[in-house]
Amino acid sequence: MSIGALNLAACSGDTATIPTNGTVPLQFTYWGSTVRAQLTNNVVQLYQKGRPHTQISAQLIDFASYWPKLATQVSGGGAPDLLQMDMRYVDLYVKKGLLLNLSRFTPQSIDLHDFNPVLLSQGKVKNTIYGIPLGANFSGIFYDQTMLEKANVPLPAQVHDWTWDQYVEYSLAIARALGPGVYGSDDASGNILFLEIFVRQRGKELYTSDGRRGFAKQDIQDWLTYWINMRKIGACIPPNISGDLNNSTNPLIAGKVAITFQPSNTIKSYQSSTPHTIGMYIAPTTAGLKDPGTYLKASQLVSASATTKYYSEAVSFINFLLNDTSAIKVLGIERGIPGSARAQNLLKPALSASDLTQLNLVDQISAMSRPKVVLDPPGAGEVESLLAFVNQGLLYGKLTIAEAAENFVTQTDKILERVIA
Amino acid sequence: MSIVQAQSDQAPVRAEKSLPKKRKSAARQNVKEYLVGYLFLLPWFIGLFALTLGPIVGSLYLSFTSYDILSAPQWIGIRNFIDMFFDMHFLNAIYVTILYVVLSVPLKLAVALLIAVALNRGLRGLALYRSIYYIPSLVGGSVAIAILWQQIFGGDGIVNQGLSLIGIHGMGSWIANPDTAIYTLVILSAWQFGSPMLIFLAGLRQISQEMYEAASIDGAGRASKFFRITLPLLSPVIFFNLIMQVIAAFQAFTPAFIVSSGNGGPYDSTLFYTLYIYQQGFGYYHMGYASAMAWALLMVIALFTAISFLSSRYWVFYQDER
Repeated sequence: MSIGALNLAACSGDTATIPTNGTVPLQFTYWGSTVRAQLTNNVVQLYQKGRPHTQISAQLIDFASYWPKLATQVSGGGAPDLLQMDMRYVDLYVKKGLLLNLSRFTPQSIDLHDFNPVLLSQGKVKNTIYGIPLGANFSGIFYDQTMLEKANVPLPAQVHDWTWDQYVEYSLAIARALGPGVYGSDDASGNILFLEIFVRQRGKELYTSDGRRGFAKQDIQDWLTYWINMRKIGACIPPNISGDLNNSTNPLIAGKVAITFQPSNTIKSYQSSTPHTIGMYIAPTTAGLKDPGTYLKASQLVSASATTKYYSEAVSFINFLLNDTSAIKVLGIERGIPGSARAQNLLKPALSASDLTQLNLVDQISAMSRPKVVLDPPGAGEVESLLAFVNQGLLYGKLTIAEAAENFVTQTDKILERVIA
Repeated sequence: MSIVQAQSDQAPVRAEKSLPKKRKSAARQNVKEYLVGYLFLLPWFIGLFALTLGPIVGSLYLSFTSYDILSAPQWIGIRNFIDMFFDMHFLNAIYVTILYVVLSVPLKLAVALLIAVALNRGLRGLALYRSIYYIPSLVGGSVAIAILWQQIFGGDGIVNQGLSLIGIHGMGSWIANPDTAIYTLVILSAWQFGSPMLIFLAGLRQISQEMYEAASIDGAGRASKFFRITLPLLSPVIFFNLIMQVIAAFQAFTPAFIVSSGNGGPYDSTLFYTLYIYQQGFGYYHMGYASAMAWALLMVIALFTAISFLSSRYWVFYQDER
């Protein structure tokens, strides 16, 4: 009881007020790898060292169970005080009034003066901050340097020379050089992140700002046709091999392909799974278009629950994650490239060559890409599964290309309409 | 074990029915016995009322609402139940689940009966064999099995290697192919024959050896003894196993969840009904729709169980009835 009273006093913005009896318990849930768990625990300990009255319990949950669990906690009235958010869910959680308005605490309690504004805009709804990106990534390709050297097929030097049309020739050259059973490219046809890039290269978005479909049937048809051709000529991995691997191992790690399509910040875990050297680059672009489609994306955000009793402590911890020198150094770029310029400069000297490449690519993409300002509507997760489903129908000859495109468009509309209703 | 109890429970009840005169003290005795019975059931009743019944009633209410877990449910009448018939994934899930029930239950019961009969011949070290054959039922729901199944039925798996030895090549992955994925799950189910096998074993023990001896004297062969003595006398146990396995097969979740990484793929070919309920409820936050589907499943299971019971009078033979 007394803690609550003290916190009311602390709410006036003075975060230095320390409850004299008892501690403030803060729940922080996040998803990620065991590497991330280690770094997060280190940062929590660092924070608590200077603030013995705050007891943060950080809980790691795997991504698939994270959202069911979070929803159940919210519904049971036990939402965690601090939570890791995904771009996909920001809109939904804000609409339900579940996230704390963080704009109220800037700049007094949360310092964002040197934070990349493009990145920050991704955690905003109606110009109010509900989540702050813990890192930036982009959807790009990972290539196996060792295999490319063996095939003697170097990457193009200029980003703008790297088009989908050239990617066909490029993947085919690798497949021919490395012999039977090895393919140039992974199959990205069922991956919505890359359909999105393809659609954005045409100046559109997957969804409109009022949560409707933003792409045309022709767009999805062109995308699926592109990959049908890739499979037909043997440039990309066939479904009977990729289907086997998908559940357990990425084809790149299995040595079946030289190029795979992934979010950039996962490169560390890929590199640690193979003795080959892994590099990254942006996804192919569309010929004649300046817009690379790729965009700077918050790999995940930190938000506070709207119902937290201890919001000044929660906010203070968020600020610590973003701005404390030692915290920045502990977290590194595991959650993506930090949005704060100062944090980037702090990290640069200690980064490995591949990490530095990642940072430079993120900066390069940030400079040339068209920011994504539309948040995914609540039905986006279902649309993502739908693309995988329709694509499987195509892969195994259950649907024709026309049926697949028609199916995807009609079902997408149905999903989005239901969510709006 | 439970069937042995069920049978011995039945015997006194039937015996009482055949006695026309009931004595008062016996009636009082009965009440006392019932009380003791319910007392033993109490832990289960506490679980039922405290943990199960509430959510069941709750889900019935939710099945008439649009509920996204994050905010209060909104009453929409029977719209969820109508939406189902226009949902292609729902129709796929029904097809996959019924196919699975129809294929896996008879196969599993046949394997269980075969092993039980083989083990019921006075083997030394029976307990050891029983345990060994029960192991698959214990590990079947684990992630290790998902990986094992991929090794067996994958493109370079044991099955394809075996097939290539006899000249059949290029079958590709059985799990990644929507036409064959469900059959790998049927085989997985048949492999987990442990619990019906134990029940069959207990049932076989109940069949009097004298019958077999008498049949032998009359010159009956092995096959004849199996079909004319073992099967008819075992029919109540087969019936029990059938009901239990049909219900379990309708509710199967884990095998598809782990083998398909939770998405029911490829192309909905392993989209079990329960998996689709999970996807809708917890994946897409359509908890009202998921609840409606759960209730539809309950009705389907009730229907199948009723059909089994109605058919049972034509093929289940109770020894003490004639």
